[in-house]
Amino acid sequence: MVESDSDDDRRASKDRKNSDAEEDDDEDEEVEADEESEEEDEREESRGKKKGKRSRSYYVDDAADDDDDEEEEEDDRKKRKKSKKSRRDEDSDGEEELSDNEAEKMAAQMRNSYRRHDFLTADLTQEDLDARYRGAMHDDEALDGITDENVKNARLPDATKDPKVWCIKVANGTEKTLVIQLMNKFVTLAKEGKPIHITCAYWNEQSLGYIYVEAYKEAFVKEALSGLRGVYATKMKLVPVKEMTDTVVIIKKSLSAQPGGWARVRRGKYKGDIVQVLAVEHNRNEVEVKLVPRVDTNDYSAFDDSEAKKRRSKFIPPRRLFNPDNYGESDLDKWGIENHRDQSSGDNVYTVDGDFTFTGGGFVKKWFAVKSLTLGSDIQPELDDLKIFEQDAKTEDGLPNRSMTHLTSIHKRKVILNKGDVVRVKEGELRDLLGDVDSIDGKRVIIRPRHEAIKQKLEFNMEELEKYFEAGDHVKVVNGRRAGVTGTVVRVEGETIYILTDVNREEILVFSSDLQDTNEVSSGLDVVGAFRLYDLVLLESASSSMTMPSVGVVVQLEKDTLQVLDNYGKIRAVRPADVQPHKKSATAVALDGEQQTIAQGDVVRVVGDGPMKGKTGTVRHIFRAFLFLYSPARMENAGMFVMRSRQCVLMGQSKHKENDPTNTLGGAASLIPGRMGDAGRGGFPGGMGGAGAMQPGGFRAAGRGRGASWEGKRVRIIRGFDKGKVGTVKEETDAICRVELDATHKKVAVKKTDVVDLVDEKRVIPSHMAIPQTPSSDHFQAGSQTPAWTPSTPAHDGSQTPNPYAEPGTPSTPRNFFDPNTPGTPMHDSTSWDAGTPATPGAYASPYEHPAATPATPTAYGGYSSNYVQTPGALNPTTPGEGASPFTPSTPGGYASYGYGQGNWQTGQTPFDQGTPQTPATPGGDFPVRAAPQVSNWCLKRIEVRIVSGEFIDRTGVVVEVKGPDCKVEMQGGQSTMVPAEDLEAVVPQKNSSVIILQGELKGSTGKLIGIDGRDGIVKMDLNSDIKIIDMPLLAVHVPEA
Amino acid sequence: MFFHVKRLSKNLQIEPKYYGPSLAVVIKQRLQDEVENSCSERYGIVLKVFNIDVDNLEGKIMPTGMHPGGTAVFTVPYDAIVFKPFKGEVLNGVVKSSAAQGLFVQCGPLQVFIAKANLADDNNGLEWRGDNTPPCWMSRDERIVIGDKTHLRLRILGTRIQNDISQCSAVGTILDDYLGPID
Repeated sequence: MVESDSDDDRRASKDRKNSDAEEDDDEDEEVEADEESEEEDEREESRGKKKGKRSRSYYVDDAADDDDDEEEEEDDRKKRKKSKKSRRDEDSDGEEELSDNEAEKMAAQMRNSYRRHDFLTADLTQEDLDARYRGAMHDDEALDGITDENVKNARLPDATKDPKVWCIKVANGTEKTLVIQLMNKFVTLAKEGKPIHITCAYWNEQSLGYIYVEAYKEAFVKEALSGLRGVYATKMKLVPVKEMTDTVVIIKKSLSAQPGGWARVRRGKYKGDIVQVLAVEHNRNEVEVKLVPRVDTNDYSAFDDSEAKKRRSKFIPPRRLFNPDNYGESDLDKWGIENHRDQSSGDNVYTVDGDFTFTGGGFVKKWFAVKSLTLGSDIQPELDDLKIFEQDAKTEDGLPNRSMTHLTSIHKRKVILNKGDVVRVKEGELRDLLGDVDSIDGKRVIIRPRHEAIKQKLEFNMEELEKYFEAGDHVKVVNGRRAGVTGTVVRVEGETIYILTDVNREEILVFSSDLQDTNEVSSGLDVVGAFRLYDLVLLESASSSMTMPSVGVVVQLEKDTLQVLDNYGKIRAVRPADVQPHKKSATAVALDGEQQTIAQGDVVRVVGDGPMKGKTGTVRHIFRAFLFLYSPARMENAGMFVMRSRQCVLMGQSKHKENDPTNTLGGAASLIPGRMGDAGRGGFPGGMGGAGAMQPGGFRAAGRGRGASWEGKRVRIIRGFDKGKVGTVKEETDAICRVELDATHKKVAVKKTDVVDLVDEKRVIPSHMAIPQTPSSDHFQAGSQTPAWTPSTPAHDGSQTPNPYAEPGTPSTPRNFFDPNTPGTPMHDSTSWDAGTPATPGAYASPYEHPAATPATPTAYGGYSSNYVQTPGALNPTTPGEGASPFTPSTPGGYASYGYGQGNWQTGQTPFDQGTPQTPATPGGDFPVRAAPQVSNWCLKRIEVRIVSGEFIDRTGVVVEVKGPDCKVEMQGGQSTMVPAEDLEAVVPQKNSSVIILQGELKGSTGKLIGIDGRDGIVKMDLNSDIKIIDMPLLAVHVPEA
Repeated sequence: MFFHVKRLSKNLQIEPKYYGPSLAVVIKQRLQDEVENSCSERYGIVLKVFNIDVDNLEGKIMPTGMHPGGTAVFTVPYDAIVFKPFKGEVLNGVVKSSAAQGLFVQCGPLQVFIAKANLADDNNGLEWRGDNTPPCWMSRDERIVIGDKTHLRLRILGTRIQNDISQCSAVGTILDDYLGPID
């Protein structure tokens, strides 16, 4: 039992002793002590600690069995001690003088090493080992008992007395060998009677390429190492005392690889692949794994060897099970599969890529270094992977049961429960009880049982529960490759859940632990690189050899590939790096089979022959003549399919809007000729013009007869974005005109109601005068005298009701639309008439934004424009489309009363009747049309204005003087300039600002704008604190004199 | 199909412009627009409203907030025919679309999905024939053919009824006695 006092223990006890000794022991005693053997050591210790008795007694007790051995050993030791002493005397000649003290200490150490030596050579029995081990334990316990504040420090050697440790760089991988060599050397030399003076040599797995040697002198270490290969003795460092313990601490590195566990390959061809651990070799740090082979079955025989090799190494074949037995030798040879005899088993085996050995089930196995695998509990196979491996387990041993239990035991998945999850009890008395998770406390889960008889909450272990799902539940995958995908549970088999995904409409298998209840709908992997589902991507750009670029729509996103439906309807798998996003689709338009414009978001029906005939879809993307359509009912390709645009017909109205101010005019610009034609021309349906140009800024024209052409007229825009600007009318339809602005030379499309004749500004140009049926345009003008009833109300625009029953679509009609010879449409003769766009007539309908909502109630649109202009609240001149809101079908009754009828026109009734409110609340009546400046200078002093043309464009300032048609504006910064009033625009007042009323009986009065309600400004008059509701355009910011 | 007649009520907001002789008409219309073909988690899909009780209505003017002043709220009682599918219920429906993954069957207002796993088993031997024109599910002996427009009797396995009708869905099966194609 001497061994129980192994070196370590000794050192430890010594350490303890030393720490004490430093304080109260004097050197002499120490020397004395050292002269004896370890018994003295212990006695020594007892002095300091009063522990000697115990220590000794247990030593004695323990050793009682081995008394004989002990004695022998004692003798041995004495002998050796003698010989050693003499030896050292000889040796010391060449060495530096050692003090007596040191010498004795060293002697003691040496004895220890001899003891170890004995140990090595002694016939070891199990008992010896046990005893030794137990002893160590005891000693540790004894240590633990010490109430020293710093046990760790207590373990540290005393730099002055204990041997030091050197760390020596050695060749990588030779550490173990070297230490053993050192040991052998030590033993051999010791036997020869010339021992090397090191006390210890060891290595630590964590410090690769280093060994540690303990000795009193560096020279001893060097001596010991001399003659050993692979030692870089020059790179020798003394280990600082504090770090000494670290060199012997072994960080418990749990090799998490366990047979049956899982890992992923880190590099190479199989990078990222999941593998199953078959065997673990701890010493070599290697793991044998089973994996699904990637056999390259391409034929490279056409290339020479090096080229074939290059190609083979470049190509990453798909994973699949492969059984070489099913193929002929020649094929195998071609694919680089070799057949040879396994050295250990003597069986014939096939190998590929060097040492990937085929197993029977179509897998390969290989020893991997632990480093080249990613191990850990978070590596879990997907269900699909598991199935493959499981299938192998079945085929291999024909015991599916075993594989199943194997499987479930392997996949002890971490179930993460959340509050609110529905769980089922897996085991115990309450098995199959359902409940909702109430709270979670570490491993304990409290559930509220879903059971009539059990009312109280129950507590379970996390392991006893599993998530519970039923068919029909809407769930989201929260873990694994499919994380993020949502779907509906279609089938439940134990822990395996079948899910129909929402987006891709495919069935996937997922473990219940990876699921969560959800309400959202998502395709999971939303973004790969820069791509999202349903993005249009450019696959190949046009080149000299291929004039047609090839594009596609992303229909599925995988980890690093995109499944793309190309414009020929084929599915291609591409890497994100190989494609570019294609952005143009949002503005692209195409023509359908009836020459109508289709744009993104439109719904079309397939009319062309083919399997898709009769199907409908929403246009997701347009590429040239190809439409990428989406139909939620389709399960393939995430609902996407490709059609040629001509094979489709637009359903309802196009949502198409061009990026042109024209579009912002919304409905007013769109002309659906059918009804008008009936009325105006008496059954000449196609006889009216209606055309749209496809190019931005395209001009829509209607071939209605009209009294006078506007072209060349100088006008001022009084509303909208370009308010205040002056220009010349270049083109016109009955509702809009295109004005070339003097200021910017740009052409803008403006509603005719939004412009005034510059020559005679009082005359708001009534757009309806263009209509031949209008009894008298003067009549309207008369109406225009009353500001409140400005006849600019284009009430007749109601006749442009988007009539879905009109026949714009018949291919024959477009010709009529553009027939310049149509009589009675003088406008057709005008050069500006954009007859050059017959190919795109469909556009006339397209800007119409809201028709689809109310196709069945065309009359509800009667007086459309007027209402639109006048509707308080909904009014926003720049976005007229919004004006349509009051016309939603939910409020049809409200309009029926003044719905516009054809008859009105024919009888010459004034169209304003339509606007006459039948109920006071009806929008449309009590509202002055936006202030058309009716005097040559609308400006007032001290209002804040913005200069909209000329030198100081976009500067704001304050009108300081009004001089005839001009104003003197003092700009910010003190500069002042004379500007014609028409080049000025009143700054729109904000809430709480001081305002002045520009027109009407209150003209010039000031007040405070206390609220804005749509188009109405609520003004508290300064004069009498009255609250007035004033049209916002009649208000300007008032800047009182400083 | 199992329909219920349910007495329900709905709060309707009516703008002042409708205050007039035709108020009742407006309310009825509004109610129909808002309620018919909507879905409630609790009652299922509302198919039709009738017996709208507009005679004893009393509207309450809402405090002016979001709405222009004077909007009134009417609590309108009405009867509704509702359809709520239950788990285990057997329904008849028409196949709307078929694919390798399964079938979508329209059972009145409800779309039911029958997954492959709930459609084909060894007994009926159904398999997907994608190369057929039109593609359909066909048994090996070609005696059972399920394609578009086939009438099916199915059992509901699970439902998801939400307030948004477009979110409603159900999962069904035909793997049971007396289920499957019907004439």
